[in-house]
Parts: sequence; C-alpha cells; structure tokens
Amino acid sequence: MNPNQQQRPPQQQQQNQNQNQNHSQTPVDFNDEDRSVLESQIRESLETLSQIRVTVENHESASGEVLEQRVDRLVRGLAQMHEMKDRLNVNVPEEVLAYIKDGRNPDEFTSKFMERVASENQFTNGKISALTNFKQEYESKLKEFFPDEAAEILDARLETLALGDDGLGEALEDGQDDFNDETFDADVGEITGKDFDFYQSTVSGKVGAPHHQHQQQQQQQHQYQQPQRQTQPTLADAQSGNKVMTLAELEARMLMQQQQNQQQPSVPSMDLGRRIADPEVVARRKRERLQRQMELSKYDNMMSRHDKDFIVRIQISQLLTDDPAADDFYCHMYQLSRGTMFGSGSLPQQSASQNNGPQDHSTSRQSAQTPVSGSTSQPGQQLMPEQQGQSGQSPAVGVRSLNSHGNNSNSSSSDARRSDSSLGMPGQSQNHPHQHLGRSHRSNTQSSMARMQQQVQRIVNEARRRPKAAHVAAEGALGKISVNSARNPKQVIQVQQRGHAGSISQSDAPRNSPLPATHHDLGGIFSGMGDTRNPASERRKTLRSIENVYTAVLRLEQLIREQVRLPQNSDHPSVQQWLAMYSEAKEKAWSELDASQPISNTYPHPLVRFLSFSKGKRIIPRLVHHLSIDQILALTTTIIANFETLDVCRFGSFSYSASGSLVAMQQREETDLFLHAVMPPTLAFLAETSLQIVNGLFALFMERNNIAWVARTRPALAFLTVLLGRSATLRQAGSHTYGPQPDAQEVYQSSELYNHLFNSLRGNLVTVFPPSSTTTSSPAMGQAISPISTGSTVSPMEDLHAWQFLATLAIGASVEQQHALVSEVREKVFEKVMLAKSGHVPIDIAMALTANVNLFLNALGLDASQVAT
Amino acid sequence: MSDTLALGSAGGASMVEEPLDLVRLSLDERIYVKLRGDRELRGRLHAYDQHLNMVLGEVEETITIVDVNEDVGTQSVRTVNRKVPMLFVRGDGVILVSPPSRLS
Repeated sequence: MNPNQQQRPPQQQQQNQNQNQNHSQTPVDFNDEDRSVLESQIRESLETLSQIRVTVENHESASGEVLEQRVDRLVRGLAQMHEMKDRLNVNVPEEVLAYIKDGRNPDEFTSKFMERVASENQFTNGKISALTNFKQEYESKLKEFFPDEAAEILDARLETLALGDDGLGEALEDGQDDFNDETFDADVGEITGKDFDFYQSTVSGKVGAPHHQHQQQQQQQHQYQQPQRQTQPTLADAQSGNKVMTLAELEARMLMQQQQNQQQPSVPSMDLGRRIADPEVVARRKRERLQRQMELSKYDNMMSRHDKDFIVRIQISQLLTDDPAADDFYCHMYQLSRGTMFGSGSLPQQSASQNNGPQDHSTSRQSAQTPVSGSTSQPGQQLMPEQQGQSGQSPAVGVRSLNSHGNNSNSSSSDARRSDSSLGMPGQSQNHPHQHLGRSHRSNTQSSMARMQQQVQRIVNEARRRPKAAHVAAEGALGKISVNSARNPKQVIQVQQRGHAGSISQSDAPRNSPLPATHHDLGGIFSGMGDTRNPASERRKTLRSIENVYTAVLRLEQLIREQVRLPQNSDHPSVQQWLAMYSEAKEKAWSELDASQPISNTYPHPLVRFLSFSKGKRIIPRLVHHLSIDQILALTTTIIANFETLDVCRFGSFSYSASGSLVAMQQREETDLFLHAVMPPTLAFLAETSLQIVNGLFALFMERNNIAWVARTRPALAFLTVLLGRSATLRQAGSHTYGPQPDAQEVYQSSELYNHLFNSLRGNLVTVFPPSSTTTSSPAMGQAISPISTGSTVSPMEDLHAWQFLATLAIGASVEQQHALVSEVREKVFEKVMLAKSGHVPIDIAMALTANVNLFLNALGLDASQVAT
Repeated sequence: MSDTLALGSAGGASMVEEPLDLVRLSLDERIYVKLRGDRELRGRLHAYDQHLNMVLGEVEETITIVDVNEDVGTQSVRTVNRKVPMLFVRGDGVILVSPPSRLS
C-alpha cells in the first residue's frame, strides 16, 4: 500500500499542479499540493506509530533510545500537520469515518452517495414534470370555467414562476413600499419586492423590447387571450430553459435589460413602471381577496336547505314555549331580582325593532373601518348587543325599574336582545359570507334577522299545530312506546285508594255455586256472595276480622293473666291502666266481631260469614268469656235471626249431608264444632234469661227461618230444644226459676209460639231425624230420605238431638198434640227399639239408643220397654 | 293490592299489610304449598313464621317426576303421592303458598 501510495503522490502532484493552473480563477476547497503533503505526512505518522508498536513489543534495553527517536518523529509529524491545518479545508463526512471505523471501504461510501444523488435527482425531476403537467391542466381548466379571473391568476402565476418563487413572495404581499418610493425614484420603485417584473425584463428580454411593450398594452386592455398565447411559449422557454439560473446568468440578463432600458427612452420606462405598479397592485389585491374568499368558502353548500331547516327545527323545538318569560329560568330569575313583571306579548315585537337599532349603530361604526376582514365584523356585532345591554341599559333599568311601563319595555327589550342575540348569532354567521362579498351590512343583517324571526315563528306555529303524540306505535310492534319530553313527563304510578275498591271491574263473576262438590274449605262457601263485587276480597275481609278477633282475644287473655299480678287496691293507677287496656281490647274484639250490624245490611251477615270459618267458631267461646250479657244477647239474636244462613244450616241439613262424600264429612265436623263451640254460650245464656227474651228470640227464630227446613239441622234442633225447654220451665212458674216471674202475657205468648211451632212441624216430624240406615224407614210425607248404606255410620248421638227435641216438644204439648206426636214418630220409635233389641248392634250402642228413645217416651209418660216387639 | 286496602279499612286494621299477613289469614285453613324439587303440598296450615317454616296437618304431598326415555327421547310425566298426618316444612324450600285452587 505504501509504495503505491508513494508512487501516486508524484503523479497527483503533477495533476494537481495542472488542475491548479487551469482553475486558478475558480476557488477551490483545498490546494492539491498541500493535500499531497498532508497525505504523506499522515503516512509517515502511521509508519512511526507502527514502529513504536514493534519497539514496545520487542522491548530491549537498547530500544529505549529508538523508542524516543520514534516518538519524537511522531510528534514532529503531528506538529507539521497541525501547522498545515489553516491552509487546508477538507470536509470529510462523518459517515466516511464511520465506514473506516467499521472497517469498510470508504470508496463504498462515495459510490453510495453518488447513487443517492442520482436517484434524488430523478425523483425531483419527476416532481417537476408532474407539477408542470398539473399546471398545464389547471390552466386549461381555469380558462374554461373562469375566463374572467383566469387572466389575472395566470399573470400572478407568471410572475412567481419567473422569479423562481421560493415562498418568500407571500410574505412580501403588500406591494406598497412607501418608504422606497420616497427615498428612491421611480426607477427603483419598480424593482422593489415582487413588483419588479423579472420575467418581463429577463425572459422577454430575449425576445425583444417591442414584444415587451406589446404585452404591457395588451394587459392593460384586458385582452386575456393573446397574452395567454404569448405567455405559453415563453412559459415553455422558462420551463425547459434555465429554471434556476445561476447568479452569473442572472447578472448577465440584468445587464442586458438595463442596457435595453437605457436604450429606450426613459419616459416610457417610467410609464411602464407606473403602469406596472398600479394595475398590478390593484389586481393583486383583488386576487388576494378572491383567493381568501375562495379558501373560506371551500366548504360551502355542504348542507342543503333541507338539512339546515332540519337542524334549526330541532333547535327551535327545544325553545318552544307558550310563555317564554316564564319558562326561561334566567329570565325568570332576572324578573325576580328586578321585582318587575313583564308581559310576554311585548317581547317579540320590541325585540325586532330594538334589534335593528343597535345593529344600526354597529354597522355604521363598522363601515367607518376599512372592510378588510369579515371575520372581525362578526365578533364585533356579537359583542355589540351584549355590551349595550350590559353597560347602557341595565343601569338605566336599575334606576328606573319601579316607575314607568316604558322602562319595562326597555328592559324587556334588552332581555329580548340578550336572548335573541343567541338567535342572532347564527344569523350573523350566515351573513358572514355576504358581508365578505361587500354588500351593505345594514340591510343584510336586518333582513337576515327578520328572516330568522319568521323562520322561528313558522316553526313554532307548526309545532303547536301538530302536537307530538305521547305514544308511538310502530308497525308490527306489540304495544305503544311512550315518548317522554318536558311537556309529557313520565307519569307516576297512582295507587288507587280504598274508595275505588268497590268500582273494580267485575272481572271474576260472583261464583254462585252454593254447593261446591269437592270443596275442602267451607269458609269459602260464602265467597260467591257479598255486596262488593270482589268475592275474594270479601273472604279476605272476613279472615282478617277473624284474625283481629283472635289478636284481641289473645290480648284479653294475656291481660287476664296479668291481672293476677296486680295489686288488689283498685285505686292503684296500674289497675286503672289495666282496666283501660282491658276494656279497650274488649271493645276491639267486639267491634271486630261485628255482631251488631243491622241485620238486613249485607247478605250474608258479617257474623254469619265470621262463623262460616271453623276458626271463627272456635274463637267464640273464648270471646264470649269476656263479653257482657248484652253483647251475648246481641250475639245470640244475630245468630238466631240469621240462622237460616248459617253454613251449618245451609249445608248441614241432613238431606244434604246424606251422601258419604268428603264435603259431607266436613259438614258434619263443622256442625259438631258449631254445636260444641258456638252453641253452649248462647244456650247457657238462654237458659238464664227471662221469658220475655226467650219469647222474643223464639218468635224471631220462627219468623226469620223456615222451621221445616231448619229443623233438619241439629243446631236448630238444639236451639229449639233449649228455647222450648226454657219457655216451658218459665211457664211453669216456679220459685226455683231465676229472674222475674213471667207475667201472663208472656206465658200466653210462649204457648202461642209453641203451638205455632208444632203446627209448622206437624207432619214433618220424622224429618227431624237424620237419615237412618234401615230400609224400613218410611218416607215422610212429602219428604224423601235417601237411605244410607250401612247402619254403623249412624251413631246414636245423631239421634240425640232429635229425641231431645221431641221430648221437649212433648212436654209442652197438650194431649191432642201428644197424640199427633206419637202417631208421627211411631215408626221411628219402633225402629229404634227394634234395633236396640235385635242385637245387631253392640250392647252399649243399644243401650244408648234405648236411652234416647226413652227420652221421648218418658216425656210422654211412656217407656221403651213398653213397646211391643 | 286494592283488595288488601279495602280489607284493611273495613276490618279497622292498619293499612299497612305485609305479605305474611296474607299467610296469617290462611291459618287453620287448607292451603297449597309449592316446594322446590317439583313438590306440592296440600294441607291445613297450623303454624308458620317469617322464614315460612310451616307446620301442616293432614298433608298430601305430590312429587312430579319426568321420566326421559333415552332410547326414544320422549318424556313422560308421573306423580307420586303420599299422605302425612303432621308435617314440619323448612321455609327455604318453599316457593309459594296459596289457598287451594277452587277447581282442583
């Protein structure tokens, strides 16, 4: 490498010298001679370095001196290079150094760089050609569509093209360079900024001066076609020719032009200069304005009128009010703070008139300014009304607010203006392009405001005329969709109060099935009846009252238990308290029982319904324990009066419960329950009352109830038995009876009642008995008894009541009546006695049967044993 | 429920009525209870509490079973009945309580 390189420098030196001679005039970056020296120096230093390395590696005692020498040489070499640095100006790209560091060939870098340059050059050439094509296309289209403006625009393009515009031209738009005009004369004035027509002076300079003048004249005459034709070939020259002229060429051209100008008379040049300046400036300004307007209106007409109307309608619909003064929150608050009331009718008219007023001011003020930019006018107008409203009007209103109506209108108009300014703004924004085109501000804004108002009015009227439906039912949808808005808010669910309970539609018809075949629950029997239309609610009502009675009774019992713990002294406050509680609970229980409701009010009587539930029957004895005599009387009266309707009567009669069905069993249970629960208190009461009451009840009983039918039920029999017995006892006035002695009238009455009873039962006495098992049971007159299959189901207890009744009947009977009795029940007696004696039944049952029969017979003075078998 | 409002006022009780009050009204009545596991009970309600634990008397339990015939893919439904004189039902298995359906 070294020998090659050493050979090269001498050749290079020769070449360098040659080159230096040739290019002595042209400045070069570095001297070749110096370069070769540098290179040799670098080589020497490198060699020295390697020598040092070797020395260090093979270190010997004598090598120290050698080392010193070599280091010295190295240092000297470096110093030399350092001295040369001023003469040299070599720029080595960093990348080359990087290449060397990586160990790559630096020539590689050079080749790569050349490739890159070539490619970028190609790329730029492509860009240029594309832009050129575009320019041609654009110009042709421009001429086609905008023949008027095309000439101006093309002239502008012409200038920028000729100048090799680098973007700085935009900044120097303002061609008015006043200072230059002052300091320099007209000749210089034509050269300042862009005004200087380089193209004219340079390119046309090639063609010739007359050509130049010709162009100018034609431009002044605004004949655009010829200059276009002329510009085209010259443009072509400019394109293909020196796009970027070197400075030397530029200077040459300028010199030539100046020579030409000087050759020509100076006056025309001055004229030309002026003519260049004025129309150019004016045209340029016009072009700028046009351009800006076009840029700004680039996105115009995106929305059709229909779209605009749509949007406006949406916005306006939100503003719909019947009374804008009341609906607007801020207006309302303002009024409150001012303490004045405004009429809503005055607002729109005054707003229209008042709005025109301030806008007059604003427009007049603005017309004084130079209408440079339309954008500044818009915020100016926006601010105007508000400023006036705030500054001018509001203090005035504050001062004179309480006085005259005129002030109201003033402030209302200020309000309106403030509120309308929001409406006015879109109008003004719409006006902006109009303003920009230079029409008069005043008429424009007024008309636009008026149009806006009309539009608003139209939309409001339309919306009012066509109220939006509260419900929307789309086709095919299963139901209505409710559309809520401020005018039609979502309704709150109203819970209907009790008063409407009665008017509930009769959705479920009253179930008039008095004989449900498989009815498990007797309590529901009455569900089909009732005053109110809702049977279920009646039932629930009754159940509820039963529960309330239970609660009351439980409370009563609890109180009774607590009574034990109370002090004996009745004046003690706790005792009083207890008494109060006790009486209160009693009252509650009694009221829940609802026994004293007038009889004919509801059918069936609530008490009857109460007693239709077994748990209702069960609570009676416990309740009665706490009731007063009067209350018990009332209870008994009610029971008797409505005896017919008692469930035990209606469904418990023997003929009904003849069948062995489940319901019949239940009926029997219920009847038993009734007999065991409800009857005893009443009967006990009856047993201790006076004849008058007994008679009264008796009469009531017979009056209200169909004896023949009712007599088939055991409770009725029991009642009758007790009644009869009591009355008989009382009639036989004896000292052992309680209470007042019955007087004659009562006695008479009771005997009358007895007779009445007897007569009504005459002929039907057999029916008093429950249906028996024997086939020999003869059907009573007019009554059919369905036989029961087996006799074992018939217990002697069932007959008991019948026999008892008959016995009591017999007691009070006269002889003739007794005969009738005997004749009627003869069969029955025989049957029973036979059954007892036959031995088919067990002994104890036989005994019981016999005892029953003897009840009756003994009353007659007979005995079962007397019966002939 | 209008009927419960009507009921409350007529009975003189408070207007506020809880759902469990309706169960209370059914005390000592025959009721129908639906349980989880496709079971139903019909019996006389003797006692209950807020968890709907119940004591039922004279109960008849009905279990509904769906037999899937794997071969054919059909399903057949059958019921199993049993009677219990007195029964305590744990409340968390109770789905609903109602009066027995009138037509059943």
